[in-house]
Amino acid sequence: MTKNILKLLLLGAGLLACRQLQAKDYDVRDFGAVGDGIFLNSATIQRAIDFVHARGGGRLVFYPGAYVTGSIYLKSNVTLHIEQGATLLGSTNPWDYVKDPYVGWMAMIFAVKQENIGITGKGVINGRGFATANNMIKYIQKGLLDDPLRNDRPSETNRPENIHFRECSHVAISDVTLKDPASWNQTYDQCRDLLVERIRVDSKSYWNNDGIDIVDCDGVVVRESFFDAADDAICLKSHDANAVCQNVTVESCTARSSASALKFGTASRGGFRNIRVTGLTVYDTFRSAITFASVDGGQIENIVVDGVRAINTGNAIYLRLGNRNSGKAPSLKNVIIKNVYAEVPYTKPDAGYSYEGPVEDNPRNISPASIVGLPNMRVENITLENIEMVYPGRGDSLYAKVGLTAGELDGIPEMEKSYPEFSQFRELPAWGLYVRHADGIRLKNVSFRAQNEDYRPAVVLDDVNGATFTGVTFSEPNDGGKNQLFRYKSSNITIQ
Amino acid sequence: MKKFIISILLIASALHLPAQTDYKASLFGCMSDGITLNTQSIQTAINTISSCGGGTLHFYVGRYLTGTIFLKDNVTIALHEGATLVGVPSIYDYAGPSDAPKGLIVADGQKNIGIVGSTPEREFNTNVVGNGIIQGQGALLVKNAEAQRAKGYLDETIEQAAPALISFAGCTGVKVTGLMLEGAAGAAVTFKRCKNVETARLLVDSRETPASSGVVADDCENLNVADNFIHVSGKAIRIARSKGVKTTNNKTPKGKL
Amino acid sequence: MYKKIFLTWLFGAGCMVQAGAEDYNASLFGVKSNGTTLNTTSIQKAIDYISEKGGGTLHFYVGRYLTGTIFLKSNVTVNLHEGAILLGSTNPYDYREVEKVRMPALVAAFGANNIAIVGKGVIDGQGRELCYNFLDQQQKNVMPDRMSYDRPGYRPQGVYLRECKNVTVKGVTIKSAAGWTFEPDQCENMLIDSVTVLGLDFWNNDGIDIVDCKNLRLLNSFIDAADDAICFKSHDANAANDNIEVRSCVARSSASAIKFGTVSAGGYKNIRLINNRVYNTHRSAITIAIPDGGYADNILVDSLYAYNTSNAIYLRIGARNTSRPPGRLKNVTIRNMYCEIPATKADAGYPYEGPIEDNPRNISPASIVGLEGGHDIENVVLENITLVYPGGGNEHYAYRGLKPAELDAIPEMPTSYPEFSQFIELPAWAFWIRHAKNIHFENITFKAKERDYRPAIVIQEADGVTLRKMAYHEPGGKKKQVHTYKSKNIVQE
Repeated sequence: MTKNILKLLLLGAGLLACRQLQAKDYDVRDFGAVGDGIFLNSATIQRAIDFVHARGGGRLVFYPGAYVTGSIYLKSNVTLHIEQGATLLGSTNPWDYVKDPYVGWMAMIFAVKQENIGITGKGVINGRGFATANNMIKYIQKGLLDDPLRNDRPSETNRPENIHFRECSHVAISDVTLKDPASWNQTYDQCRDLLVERIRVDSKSYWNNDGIDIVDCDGVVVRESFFDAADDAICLKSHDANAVCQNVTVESCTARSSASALKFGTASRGGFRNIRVTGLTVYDTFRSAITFASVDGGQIENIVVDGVRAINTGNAIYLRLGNRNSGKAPSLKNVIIKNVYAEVPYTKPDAGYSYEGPVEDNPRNISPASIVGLPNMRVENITLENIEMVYPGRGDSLYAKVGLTAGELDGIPEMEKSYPEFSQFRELPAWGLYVRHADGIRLKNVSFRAQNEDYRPAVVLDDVNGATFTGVTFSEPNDGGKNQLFRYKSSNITIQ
Repeated sequence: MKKFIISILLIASALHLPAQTDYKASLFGCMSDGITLNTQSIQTAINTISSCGGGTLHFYVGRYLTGTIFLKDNVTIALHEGATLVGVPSIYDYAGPSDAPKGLIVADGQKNIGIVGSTPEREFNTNVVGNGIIQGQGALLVKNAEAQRAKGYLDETIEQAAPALISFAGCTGVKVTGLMLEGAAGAAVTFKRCKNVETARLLVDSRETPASSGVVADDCENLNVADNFIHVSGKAIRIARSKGVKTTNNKTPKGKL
Repeated sequence: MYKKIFLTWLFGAGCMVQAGAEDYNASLFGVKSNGTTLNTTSIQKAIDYISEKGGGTLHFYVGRYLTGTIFLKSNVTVNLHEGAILLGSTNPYDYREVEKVRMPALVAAFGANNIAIVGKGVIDGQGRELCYNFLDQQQKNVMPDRMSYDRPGYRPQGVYLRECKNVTVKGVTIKSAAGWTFEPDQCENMLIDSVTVLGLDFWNNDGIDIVDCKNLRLLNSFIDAADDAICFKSHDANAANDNIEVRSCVARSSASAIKFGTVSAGGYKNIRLINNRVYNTHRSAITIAIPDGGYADNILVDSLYAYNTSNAIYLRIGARNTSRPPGRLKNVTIRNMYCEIPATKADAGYPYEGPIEDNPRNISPASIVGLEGGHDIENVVLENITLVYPGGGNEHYAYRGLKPAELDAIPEMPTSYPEFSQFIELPAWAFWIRHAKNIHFENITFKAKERDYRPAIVIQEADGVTLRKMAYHEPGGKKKQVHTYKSKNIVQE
């Protein structure tokens, strides 16, 4: 696996080297584009891309200015280079965007089945999505576009993303700032050899503003990037039951989200494998720092998360198997999570951000980290090592209570068809870690700290077969020596 | 045919629009400020109206900036007094039918289409009445095309790149009446392989480019060109290989044609 | 004369009384300068509080103050310091009306005395976005509107002051209203000085509308508007604009730069327009229209300079309102005027360019046009005037000959909207007079840059026209430049 990662890194470097070799720069203004913040340049930019593509490739350079555009399609061997001070400004007129019939989404910058493409430079891509999304609502309400307006918003596919690349290879996205799309920010779907580095994502302009969505890609490096998103910040998905999101490295990134910071899923049809996440910083995040969910029949395996610092984050870790009608058995196994420090607050971690995450699944006391399979589909072989989790405690049994009796523990619903979220079960019987329907759990050098008393024990194992606890410590004020590790229907538990 | 009707019904029902044949441009977000590029908004309007069975898209006084728009079956554009469609001066915003010149307003193989100026009641009669305006900004367009050629970015000749104001090919049942047509980069109006065409009461003023023709027709059938005033740098009326052509009471600054 | 001086004195004194003693900063009332907090209620509270405490000044320092409608109250001065922007909300539901006349505005006042808006700050209505939001609500039929011309009819003005006395508006910029930019309506003793008025953000947006006011001075101001720039109106048949001076202003318009009308229910008297400039204007430099009854009497236009303006002068009596007899237009002096009329569109490139209409016609002349049946325009003096025309009138494009039948065929159009272009082709290239009495031209130069098929002047159905010291410049050899028809007492010297 390490070898795989190395290969990826080399590949990233190789991509960069290639890019510097192909030389020619074209100034988009030479084609008649105007950076006045008013003139709609879609046709001109498209013609410029086509021209550079036809001439064997090169960089189409945007010098300082604000270039308004609707949908454009990037072509092979063309890089959009956006200089510092230049902005690609999304048109706020929804009709200026194409809903690509092949991918079924709207976007400002599309690429479909192209190779050797990129978006570089320290400039900005600003979708102005708030205005665009609201303009789209007007047209839907007038009956000009068919959309159910679920939750009083247009569906994600009827709002433009900033970037949507599909089935492309050798893609490099570097240095740019991606701001304010109307839907997800950037989707890379079934792409090969994708390098994303030093980008900055500011994505809080409308509902479902994901930071980055990597869907069924093979060979991805995301590094040294910053994500601040209203929805999931760094999100790996698998839309295709016959494809897999694999060989992905996420390193030295920072993420803030009003949903989850690093998420696999929710769409998880094919699966995720050979993923390595290192040096991730998370803050002010409403849901989980890390959540891996396989609920659509996908396989999650060979995952390493090494080095996470999560401050003011609603939940540290959530691993979940579910079964939302895929007709295929999902799996979640061989996951190593190590070197994690997480602080969970008592108050709402993303309060004050625009498009704050919705408060739901109440009443419940602070939820623990959780690893939850299904009775007949078990989570397997999970290692948690060198981990410190700090909780606020304050679990109050008068507010919500799930005790440790057989009836109460068995009464926790399986929710196999539900949307997987750390809070979905409402009240859980532990304040630190809850494990259910799992085999082969190893905790090594893990410390659970509650800052205040909690009516619950730190850890509850329910239907766990095979668990090893080495150097696991608990700290809770005035705990009166209560049993912090509660076992139920579990076997082969070793405590060292 | 049955399938066709069903599909229209489906679209109409999906779009919750009340049954109608008259649509105002603002419904589709068209802006009359002269600054907003309306190409896709107008195109959306045309597509919607055509798919709902046809009708008239009304533009009221104002300047509507646009690139090429494609007219579709059973759609008429009505330009009321003072309503001006303004061609965007960017050369890459134009397209055309496959075998005919590019145009600001284009139709390729459509039937029952029109662009008409309204004809309000006048207290007295003038010989020619034109309301509703199409401005091509031809001089700017040609200048921009020349600049693109000089840089080597444009392979087309100026003649190929310069759009007409109206370019219809292979259309049946065409009405172009009661308009002021100004500043075309190419010809003002050109028809190719069109049938049953009425072109009347136009005020054509197109002298910004060296050889802008007024009304051009090639390989057409049943063509009526009447009551037009044509002031152009090229030929006022140029008709070739056509049958059933009627030209009556057309004038130029030098007098009757 | 004494009476005039007394009036001026009164009016100056009135303007000085108002600045109240106490100073209040907006922040005292919790007003936020961040551009996103809606301050309507806080600002209103501030104004009400200051007014109740006997008056004073509310200071806004640099910042963006978002607000819906606020009402000015007696003895309150609003001081918008440099960099302070009063920003109109873009939500249609944040606006209220002056109920008596159902007029919505961003800044409104009704029956307030001793009020002022001063400072170098800006009142910005964010009108375009607001209009589109109105349009959206109207299209969905949440807010019913006639939507004539496919536009919202009901739109808030920038500043609307009704029945106020002793008012000063000085230094500020008023811009981007959704409707008319600034309208004093039935106000008395008012000074508008050194203001910038920009009404370029939507259709029908006038600059300043002075409606039925008394003792008003508009000085040193710049007005640029999509519709009429400086516009006198009379909405009330029992009121009139009386004793108004407009001095040293610059106006640009995609309609008329200085206009009396269109609504002329009451009238206009004692109006002085001195040393004003006009440029890039789509219609007339000065137009006085009496189409609804009412009157215009004792009007002085002195030192008016107009460049790139499609028409110099248009004086017109109409009869749109058939329930009243036509109005009167008399005692007008226009002197020391220069106007250049272009062959091309004067306001090309401005947002909301004026519409091209009334074609085909060659360049229209300046005109004085009364109505048949004894409704002449009377006693007009035109002195020291130069009008420069492009000429080039082509008879194949449009033709109006001098034969009796052709001149008689020019329609009277009593019920039409009064506009210099309304008759389409006219028979003269410089000046056309019909149904007028006692018109005196002296020291006048008419210049055409190209030969025109028409004569310079046509006078028809007029009584008493003096042409003294006239000069005509037109290339292409001598021709008869004055044609008279059915007229008497024509003197040419």
